[in-house]
Amino acid sequence: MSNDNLIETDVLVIGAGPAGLSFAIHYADLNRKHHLTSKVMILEKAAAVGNHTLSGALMNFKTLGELLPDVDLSSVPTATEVRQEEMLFLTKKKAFGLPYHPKAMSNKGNRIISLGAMVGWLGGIAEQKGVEIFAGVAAQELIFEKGKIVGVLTGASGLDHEGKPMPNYQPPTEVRAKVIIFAEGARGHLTKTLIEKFDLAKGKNPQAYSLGVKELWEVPEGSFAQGHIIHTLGWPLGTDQFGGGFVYGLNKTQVVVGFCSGLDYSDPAFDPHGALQSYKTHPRIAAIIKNGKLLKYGAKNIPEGGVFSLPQLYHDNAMIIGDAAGFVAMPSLKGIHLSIRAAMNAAQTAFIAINEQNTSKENLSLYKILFENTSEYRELYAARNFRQCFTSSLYAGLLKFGINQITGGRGLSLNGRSRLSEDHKHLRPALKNNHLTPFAFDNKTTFEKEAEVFYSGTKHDEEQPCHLRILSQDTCLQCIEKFEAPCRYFCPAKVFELSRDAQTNQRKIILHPSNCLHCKTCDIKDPFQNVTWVPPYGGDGPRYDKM
Amino acid sequence: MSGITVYQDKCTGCALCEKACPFDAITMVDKKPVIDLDKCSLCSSCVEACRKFGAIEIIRTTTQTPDIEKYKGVWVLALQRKGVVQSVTYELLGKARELADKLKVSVSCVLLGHNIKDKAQDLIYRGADKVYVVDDPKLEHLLEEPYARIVSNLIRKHRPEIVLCPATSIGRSVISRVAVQLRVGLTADCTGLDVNTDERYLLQTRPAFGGSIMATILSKHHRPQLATVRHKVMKEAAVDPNRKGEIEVVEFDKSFFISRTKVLKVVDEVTSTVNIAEANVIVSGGRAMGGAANFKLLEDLAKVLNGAVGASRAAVDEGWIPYSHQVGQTGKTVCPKLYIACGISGQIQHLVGMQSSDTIIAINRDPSAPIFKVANYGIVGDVFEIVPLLTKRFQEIL
Amino acid sequence: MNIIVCIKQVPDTSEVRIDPSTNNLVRDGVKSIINPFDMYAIEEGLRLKEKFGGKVMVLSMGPPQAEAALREAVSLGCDEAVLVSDRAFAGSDTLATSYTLSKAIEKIKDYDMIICGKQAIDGDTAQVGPGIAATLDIPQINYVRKIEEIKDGAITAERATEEGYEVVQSSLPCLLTVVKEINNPRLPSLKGKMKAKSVVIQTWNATDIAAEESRIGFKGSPTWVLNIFTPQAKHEGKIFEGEAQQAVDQLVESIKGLVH
Repeated sequence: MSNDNLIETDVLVIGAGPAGLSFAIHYADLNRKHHLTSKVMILEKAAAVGNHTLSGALMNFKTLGELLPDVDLSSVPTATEVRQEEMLFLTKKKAFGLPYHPKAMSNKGNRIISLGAMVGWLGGIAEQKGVEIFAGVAAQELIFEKGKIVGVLTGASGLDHEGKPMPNYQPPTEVRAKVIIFAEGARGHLTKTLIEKFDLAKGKNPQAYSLGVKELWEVPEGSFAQGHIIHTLGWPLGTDQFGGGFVYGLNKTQVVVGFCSGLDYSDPAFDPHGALQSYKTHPRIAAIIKNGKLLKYGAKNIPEGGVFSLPQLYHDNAMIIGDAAGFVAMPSLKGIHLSIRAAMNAAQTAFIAINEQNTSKENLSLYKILFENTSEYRELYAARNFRQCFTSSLYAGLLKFGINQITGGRGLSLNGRSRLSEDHKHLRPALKNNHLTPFAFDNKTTFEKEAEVFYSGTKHDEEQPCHLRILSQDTCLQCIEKFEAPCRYFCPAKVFELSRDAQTNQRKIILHPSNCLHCKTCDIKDPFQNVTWVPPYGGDGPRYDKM
Repeated sequence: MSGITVYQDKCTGCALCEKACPFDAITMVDKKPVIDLDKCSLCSSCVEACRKFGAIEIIRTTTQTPDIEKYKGVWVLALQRKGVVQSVTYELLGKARELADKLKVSVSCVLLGHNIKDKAQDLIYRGADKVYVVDDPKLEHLLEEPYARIVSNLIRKHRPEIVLCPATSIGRSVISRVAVQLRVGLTADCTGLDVNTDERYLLQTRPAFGGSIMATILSKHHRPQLATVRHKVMKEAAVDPNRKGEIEVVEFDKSFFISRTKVLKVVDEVTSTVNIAEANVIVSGGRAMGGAANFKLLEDLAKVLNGAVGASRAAVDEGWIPYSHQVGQTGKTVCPKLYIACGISGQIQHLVGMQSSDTIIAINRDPSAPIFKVANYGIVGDVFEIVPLLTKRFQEIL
Repeated sequence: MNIIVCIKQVPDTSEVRIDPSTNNLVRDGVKSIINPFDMYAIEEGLRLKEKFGGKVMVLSMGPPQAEAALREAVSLGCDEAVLVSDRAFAGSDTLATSYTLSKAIEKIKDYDMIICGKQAIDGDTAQVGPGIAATLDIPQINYVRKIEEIKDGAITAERATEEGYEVVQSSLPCLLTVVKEINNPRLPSLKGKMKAKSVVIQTWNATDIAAEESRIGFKGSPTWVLNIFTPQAKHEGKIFEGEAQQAVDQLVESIKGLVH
């Protein structure tokens, strides 16, 4: 590679989300404290920091305060204190308050925030501290030398659908660093490559995901109080499915409505976006958004496997942080402050390693040791067998959860660790002649996927090669035959459409990659693992600002 | 000193100005307006909103054209192509007549070209009282430098108060050059023209922000007031073969014809290959087209209408037509005079790309398709039946 | 070749809406972008540089925040950037803008070509490009859709017309305005983004460009806006029913005035 396309830095962070930014901020602080000047650079695929960040979100600000001791946290945009909390069990028409609120799930003292807005704010702080953030740059491939990772390759641009260079072709750039921090978020594609290459998931549970589908609504004042939060279980999910809904009063006139569906579901026709639309027809929920206006739509995956699904978090010259690793503590679904803590530990580790000029996996293993000694880790550890409780039935799950609570998280497992199997293995074959009643979208409170995608602000340069890599067309046909193309249901953005070839009359999948929300559900849930998600051009994708 | 001033003592804190500002440049602080000069474009919306109290004033001090009251008459710059006067000129003549009658002045035309003298009479029939003709081989093609030089000279000499020019691609660049040479105001693409007869100034209405808003523009203190108008906006002046008028052939020294640009070739291209972002007419196909071959029907219609073929994302993703034809959120935004949506449902991603088209026609089998909500005209029916009928009918009348 | 590309920072008008209750432009959350036509101008300038050598300087007149647009132009590959900014430029119409940019170009002095986008998507006038050419008294070729050749101090290009195109030749230096057919703009490289962060944007005010007070801003603007209003909702929403031929005939009757 010519000099023109080679950049060298000390620490490279892939992803400017809460973890990536926390890492960089803490690293920069350590530099300043010790009067040292190693460089940290972040590559972010979204056009602007925060555009691809999506969460409910309810956040514990404690760790943020430790990351930024000199910053007044009242300046975090959109943050509002949780004032009233409800946990409900829903049937189709009714809502029942749950008799028991586990303490771990209480949100007293937490804030409702737009995580994207907070990340945008955090990005500003990072830049003030000298961190270089380059938005609109997608890291595409890893560069290995002598069996170790040494850098990343950004994507080329100016390619046609077949990948051939056009007159406006721009070659990839090689970015080399001493330490590379994987902060790509849930199911990061480079993280996936790293884990596979070095077998970092050996002996661990696979990761388990829930797809969160979320909408931001503008409602007349008085519809739902600011600071009021509702979590629900039950309808529209059956008892054999894990998931639940939420409504958060972000401010006097804005409400967040969302639904999370565990991706270990077995019905191939299950549609997470559809679940949210159904959810909104429940009388309790419908009353809140009744006179409202849809502002934004988005979807993102949550890694829920907990501590036993964490891969080995470090290797030569590399560390994995944030949702790419999976620091979400169930059932409270708290992952942000844990990610911040782990990111700070990773920063400490990287700082020492860089200055000792030793970035081997042995030296970087300090990251694990540091994190395992924190209170945040203990939160994560307490929930270590939670998700595994809910792989079959809700009631059995609740029972197991109860047992978990009594046994201090150990649950019913013999060795203290309950197993999980991959989400994509759970699908059962489609029922033939299963006539699904199409949902009647009213276009006032419920919307078709294709229409909603517009509200995510997602845009993609359409001249580029398709960023959803289908490994085998034949496998697609097999999947259509056996499962009736579940991709058209599980994708929240209608990227996959079942169509018929005009000539052969055979059914086939056509792709609409420009709808993509970068949630990677296809990469996770495809029963044949036939789809690999890679990033499209830098700058492409949704725009979740203030959502 | 020019600028925007708030008279605090007259301000009642009603905040109507804040609401009226289209650029969010006014914030009420302690019940008084604070104007962000970086956002303010001095559009006067707040001045209008505060007319009752007169608490906001925009003071414009600018030099005035000397002897401004001596400028009389409405002119139309007649544009020719290949020796034929372009019909948009007749539309401008119609409007010019209307304005001149209100101002009680005459209408004159300026006609430049080669072997063009005999066309001057047509302009008289269409309403011109006088035609200045400049005929020279060097003026065969429209070239900015000689055209602008001659037009500027004629204006300086005869002092019209208003000059209208067709907003063709070349017309606009010629008149821009004239505006700079004369240091006067030019308003492009006017959709409405009227005069204030008391103070004798032209009120020019035109779209901005891609058509999201309309603005009324004035050029009170400078003469002539220049305006360009597009084809098919104004109504053509009727022909009156009995009309009489004066034709003056003006000679110019050859230095006036010097041009550093020259036209090597003129090509009339079949416009089905035209870039959709620039097309005046777009015939667009969606999912219901069913296949690549069927786009031929749309090509046929586009050809008859001198337009381009567009497509919704669904059609492009199916591989029926290349991405360069796509209209919609991440495709191209278009605003042609006429947009015909064939078998397109009208999902919002597509609408965003074409809803500022002047006239939208929808043809769709489904009467509840969202496209009908934004269409000016529609036919509920099968595109395969309707489109060929449309093509045939247009062929007959055009 | 020394090329100057003139750009403007504009709101993304595809996102600008009218709030039906206040009749105001809703600009909240609307991004500021480089005027889309200017992206094509930048791309063409960069291609010429790659072919003939030389440098591309990008120039803009605007408030301080327009610096972001200039940095984006640098990230694409432009070598230098100049922002012409002064409170005194407020209220400039196209004449005053053409004058101001021309004075800046005079200060830059050495150039072979100036490239502008056809028009800005907020003002939509397409006057500034030709206005600059007129003020500098240089030739122009407008609506260029293809540059055929640059040779012996002259440029040959295709300019788009309503009927097709014309092949025009001009001496250099000259000014071009370009249309979207001319190329496909590139995306910025990481190196470009790094350069954009560190590049020093020269900022010139009215004094720096020796602008006459009477010709800039308000004073230099013969045209001004009297008022702004929302266009009338023009949708009739007329559906033609009945038998196909009949519906077609009625439709054609209604719209025949719109087509040539």
